[in-house]
Amino acid sequence: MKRHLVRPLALAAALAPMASCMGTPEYGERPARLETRVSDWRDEIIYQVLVDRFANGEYVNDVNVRAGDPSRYHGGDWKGLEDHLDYFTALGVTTLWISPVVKNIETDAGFDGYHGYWAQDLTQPNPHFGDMVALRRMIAKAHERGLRVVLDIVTNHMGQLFYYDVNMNGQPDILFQESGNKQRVNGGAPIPVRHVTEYDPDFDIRGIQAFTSLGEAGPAPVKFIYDPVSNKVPVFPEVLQNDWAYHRRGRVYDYDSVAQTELGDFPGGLKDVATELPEVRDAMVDAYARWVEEVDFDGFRIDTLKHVEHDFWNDFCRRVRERLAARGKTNFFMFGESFDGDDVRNGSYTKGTAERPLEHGVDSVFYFAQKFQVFDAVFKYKGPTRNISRLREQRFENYRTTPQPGGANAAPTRLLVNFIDNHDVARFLFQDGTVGALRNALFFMYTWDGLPCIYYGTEQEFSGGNDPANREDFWPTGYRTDGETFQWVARLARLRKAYPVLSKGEVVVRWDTERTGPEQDAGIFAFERVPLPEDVAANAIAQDAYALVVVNSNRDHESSTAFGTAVMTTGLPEGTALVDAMGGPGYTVGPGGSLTVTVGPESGAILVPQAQLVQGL
Amino acid sequence: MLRAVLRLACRVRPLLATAFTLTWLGGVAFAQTPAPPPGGSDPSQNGPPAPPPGSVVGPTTPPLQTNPLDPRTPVGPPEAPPAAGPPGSGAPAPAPAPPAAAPPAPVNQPIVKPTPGHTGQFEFGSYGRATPALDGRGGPGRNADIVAFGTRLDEDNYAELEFRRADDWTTEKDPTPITSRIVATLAVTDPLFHYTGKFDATLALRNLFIEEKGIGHPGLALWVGSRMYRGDDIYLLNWWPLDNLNTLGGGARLELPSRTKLAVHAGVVRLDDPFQYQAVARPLPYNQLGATRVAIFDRPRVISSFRAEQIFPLEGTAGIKVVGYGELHHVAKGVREREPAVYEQMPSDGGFVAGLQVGAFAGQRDTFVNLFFRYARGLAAYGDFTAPYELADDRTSSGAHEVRVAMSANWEGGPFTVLAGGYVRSFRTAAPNDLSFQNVDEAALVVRPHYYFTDKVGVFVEGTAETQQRAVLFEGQGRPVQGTMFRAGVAPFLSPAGKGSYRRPQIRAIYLFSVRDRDARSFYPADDPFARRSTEHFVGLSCEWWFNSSYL
Repeated sequence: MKRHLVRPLALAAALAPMASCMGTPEYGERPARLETRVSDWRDEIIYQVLVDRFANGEYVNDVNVRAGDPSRYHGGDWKGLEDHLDYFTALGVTTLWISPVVKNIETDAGFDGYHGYWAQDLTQPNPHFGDMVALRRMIAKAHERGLRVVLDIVTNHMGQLFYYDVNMNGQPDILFQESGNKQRVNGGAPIPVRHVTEYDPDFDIRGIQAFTSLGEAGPAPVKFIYDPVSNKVPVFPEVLQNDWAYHRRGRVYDYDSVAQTELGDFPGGLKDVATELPEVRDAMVDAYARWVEEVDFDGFRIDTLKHVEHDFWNDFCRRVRERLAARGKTNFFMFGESFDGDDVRNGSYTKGTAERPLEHGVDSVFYFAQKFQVFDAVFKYKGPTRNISRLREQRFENYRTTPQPGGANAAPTRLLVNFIDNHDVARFLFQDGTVGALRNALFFMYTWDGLPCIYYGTEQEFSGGNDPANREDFWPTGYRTDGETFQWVARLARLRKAYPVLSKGEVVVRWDTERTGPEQDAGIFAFERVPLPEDVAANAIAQDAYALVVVNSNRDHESSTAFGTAVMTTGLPEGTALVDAMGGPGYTVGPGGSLTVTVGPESGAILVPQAQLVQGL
Repeated sequence: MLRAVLRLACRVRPLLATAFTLTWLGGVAFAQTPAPPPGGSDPSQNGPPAPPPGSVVGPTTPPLQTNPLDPRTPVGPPEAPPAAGPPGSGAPAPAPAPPAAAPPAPVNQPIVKPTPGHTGQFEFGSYGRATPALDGRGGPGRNADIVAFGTRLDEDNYAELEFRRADDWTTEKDPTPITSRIVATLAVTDPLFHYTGKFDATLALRNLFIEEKGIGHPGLALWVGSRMYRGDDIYLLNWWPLDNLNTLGGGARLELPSRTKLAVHAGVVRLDDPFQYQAVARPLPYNQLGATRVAIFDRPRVISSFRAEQIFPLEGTAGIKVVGYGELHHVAKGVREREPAVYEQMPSDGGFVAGLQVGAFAGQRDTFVNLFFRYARGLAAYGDFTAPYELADDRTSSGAHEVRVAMSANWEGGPFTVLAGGYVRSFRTAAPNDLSFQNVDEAALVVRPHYYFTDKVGVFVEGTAETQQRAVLFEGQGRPVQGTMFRAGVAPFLSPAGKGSYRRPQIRAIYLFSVRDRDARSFYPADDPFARRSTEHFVGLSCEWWFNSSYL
C-alpha cells in the first residue's frame, strides 16, 4: 500500500467507531411507562422554584443573559436544579413545582420571558433552560431522591403574539385619541385623552374595534407579529395560529367582571385563548398531557385558573386524568391559581357553582384567601386569629368535599395549597414582615390542614418586593443549609413527616380570639389534629394519633389558651400527659379536657401524647 | 405565425442565455495567430496600447442609476475603471508612441519555472485620477452634470491597482504560444482618507480572473472569473455605450488572421435588491436559541453576450471597424415574502440587447471616429448593475427599453488634437405610466480641443451641452420638464508622455463654468444648492494616469 494512503485510511478507521457512537443519549427517549409516585398528596411539601433564578448549571444555554437586570434572563436552568437536589431534600420538601418549561416569547418591550408564562410553542422546551434530555434527567434524578416534580402550565393565554391594528395602518402603534380639551373649549367637562396601545388595548365586549378620526370602523384586524429574533413566530399547537382561536377583546381591567376575566387578554398583551372551542381544548389537552408522557411529571400547577371558563376545567381535567391513567399515572395532582381573595370563586374551580356544578374540577387551588386573611392579616399584621376560624368554616362550603373522579387521592378541602408568598406577590419579609413572624407563619403552615408550599428563598430570608423584585437570584446564598430559617423549615418538615396526623388529620379548632392587644389570649390560635376515620380504616394513620397545635401570633408577649375564666377545652380525657414536640413544657389535661397552654410571642407548641413523642427532631 | 415564433423565442430564451457559456466548453482547434497588443482595437497596431481612455464609466452605466439626479442614487456613480487599456476610443488608437509600444517591463524576474522553457512575471498596472477642487463659493467642487454621462472634468476621485501574473508556457517541444494571465484589480474611490480624516476606504475588486490563450488554437482565449468585460468607450463621457458588462462568469475570445474577433461570454450578477434577493429572519432548527437569516429568494441574473468584430483595412494604416453585439438576460421565477407569511410570485424575466458599432481609424496618432447604436429591451434595458424598477403589471421588466445613439472621435494633427463625444438616449421603464420621473430622454455633446505649446505642455478647452427630459410635468405647466445645461472649461496641462489626446499621465489646472436653466434646477430636491443656483464654478487641479492595465 502506498504510504500516502495510510494516513487517510487510518483516520477513517479511527473515525468509524465515533460515528457509530451517535446513538440515542440516556434520557433521550420518553419513559416507556409512567408511574404513580404519590400515594397521598396530603403528605407532600411543595417547593416553588423559578428555574431561571435558582441555579445555573450549564453555560451553553446562557444566551442573552443579563443577570444585572431583574426582568431579563439570568441563566438558571434544569441542570442547575439537578445539581442541587440535595438542597431540596435537606430542606425536607418533597415536591418541586418548577416554572413553565415551554418555549416562550424571547423578549417583549424590554422584558424577557424568563418566567415562562409567555408561551409561544407548547410543544418545545425553552432552550434557555436546557433540552429534553436535561429536563428528563433532572426529573429522573429528582424521582430517584423521592422528590416529585410538578409542571406549571398556562392554558388561558399565549405570549404577545399579535397586535390589534386599531387604526388599520398595518403596524403596531400607541395611539392617542382626543385632545383632552375639546369639551373644555366648548364649555363642558374635558374629555380625557384616550390612550390606546395596539398591543394591549382595554377590554371591549364586542371585540377590539378599529377606529379612525371619523369614528369606529368595525372589528380591528388582528396582526400576528413575525420576528424570529424575539421568537414572535407562528404558535404551536398549530390551531393557535388562527385569529379565531383567541377572544380578541382586549385587556381585562375589571377583575370583578367575569366576562372580562374570562374573555379578556391578560395584562401585558398576553392573548386570551378561546378555550371554549373544541379544537383549542383538544390542542391544550394534547400539548400538556404530552409533557407528562414525555417527561413524567407528577402534577400540574395551573396558571390563571379564574381567567378560563369553568367548563373548560371540567373537560380538561377529565381528559388529562383519563389519558394519563391509560399510561399508568394516576393520582395526578392538578392545582390551580385563582388569584383572588374571593374564596367562593376560588373554590368554584373544584366544585363548580350553584347554577353549574362541575363533575370534574381541579384537585386544589392556591389558598389565596388564606394568604390574605391569615398569613398577611394575622401573622404579618397581627390581626385576630378568629380570621383563621372564619375562613376554616367556609372551606367546606366553598370547596368540593370529595375527591375528583380519577383525580388526586383526597378531596380539595384536604388538599388546599397553603402558601405565604409566591412569585406574584411581595415576599412576606418585604416592608413590615419580620423573621420572627415569618417563622411563626411557617410553623402554622406546616401544622395546618393542607399542603405547605414554600416559595424559593423563603428559607433564606429573601425579602424582595413585588415582581420582579421578588424573583431574586438564588446563587448568592451559596445554597447554605445552616441558616436559622433554613433549619427551622427543615425541622418543621421533619415534624410533619414524623407526625402524620399533622398532614392527614382533621382540624378541630379549640381556641381563637379577636383580641390582639395586651390581653391574656391575644394572638392565640389552638387546634387539634385528629385522624379521619377513613384514614384509620385504610391504615394510613394510627387511630390514637393526636396533636394539639398552639400558636401565638402576638409579637409582644406570651399568651395562653385562656381568657378570664374561660379555658380551652380539648377532646382529651383528663390526666392525659402531653409533651411539646417543639421542646417546650409539657401539660396534663385537666377536668373536662380543659387545658391552658402558654406560648411565647411569635412561637408555637405541638403537644402530642407522651407515648407518641418522636425523639431527635 | 409570427406569434408562434415569438412564443418559441420566449421559451428558449433562458436556454440561450446559458448556451454561450457552453459554446466554448467544446474547445475547438483553430489556426494560430499571435496575440494582439493590449491596446487598441486595431490588431494591426502592434504598438502602443492605445491609451486607455481611461475613461471610466461606471461599471454599469445603468441607464438611470448613474444619473446623479436620480434621487435613489447618491451623486456620483460607482466608478468603473477603464478596464484595461485604451480601448477606449474604440478606435484602434494606433498611437505610435514608442514607449507605450514597448512591452510592459517586468516588475520582477521570473520566480518559478515549473516547466522547461516557461517564463513568467508579475506585472502592475493602474488607472487613476484625483481632482481637488472648490466651487468658488467656499464649497467643494462637485459633479454637476444633469445627464447620465456628461463632462468628466468634475469627476470624483478614483483609482485602480491591477496586479497581474503573466506566464508564457511555450516550450521547446511545443512551440505553440500558450500564455496565461491572472488578473486582480483593486479599485478605490471616494471618500479618500486625506479628505475626511477617516481612516477608511471604499474598495472593490473589479477583476479577479484567469485567462489562458493559445490552447487548441493560437487565437483562442478562455477566461473564468470576475471581470469587467467591455469594448470601446467614449473617453469624454466616461462611458462604454455599446458593451460594458461586469459579471462573475467566463468566456471565450477567438481572433482570426482575417482580422476577425469573436467573443462569447456568460456570467451571473445577483444584486442585493428585492428584485433578485431576499433574506429573511427565521428561527433556528431543532429548538436552538436565536434566529438566522435565510435567503428565500435568490435568483441571479444570467447574462450572456456575443460580440463579433471585423476590421476592413483601407489604404496605409487606416481601416474600418464594424462590431455587432448582443446580450441576453434572464432571471428565473421565484417567490419572495412581502410580509410575514404573505408571499409573492415573481415570474421569470428576461431581456436582450442588440447593438452595432461602425468606426474608422487613420492608424496614426489615435485619430478615429466611432458611431454606436444600441437597443435594449426588458431586463437588459436597466443594465447589469441595476435592478429593474417601475415594473410592469406582471411584475416583470417587459416593456422597458432603451435606445442609445452615440459618437466618439479624436483627431490629431501637429500641435492640435480634438476629442469629441456625444449621445442621445431614450429610456422607458416597464411600467405603463404616462408620467414617470424615471422615463428619460437625454442628450449630451462634449468637444475638447487641445493645443500643445511644446511636446509636454498644452491647454485644452472644453464645451459641453447637456439636456434631459423626464416624463413629468414641469411645475404644473402641462409640459414635460426639460433641463438644459451648458458648460465651458479651460485646462492648461502638463503631459510628460508627449502630445496626444490619450497620452497620460497628465496634470491639469481646471476652471469650469456651468449654466443651468430653471428646469434643470427643478431636478434637485429642495435646499440642494444646485436647486437654487443657475451658475456653477469649478476651480481645481486634476491628475490622471493609466499604464499597463489589462485590456481585453
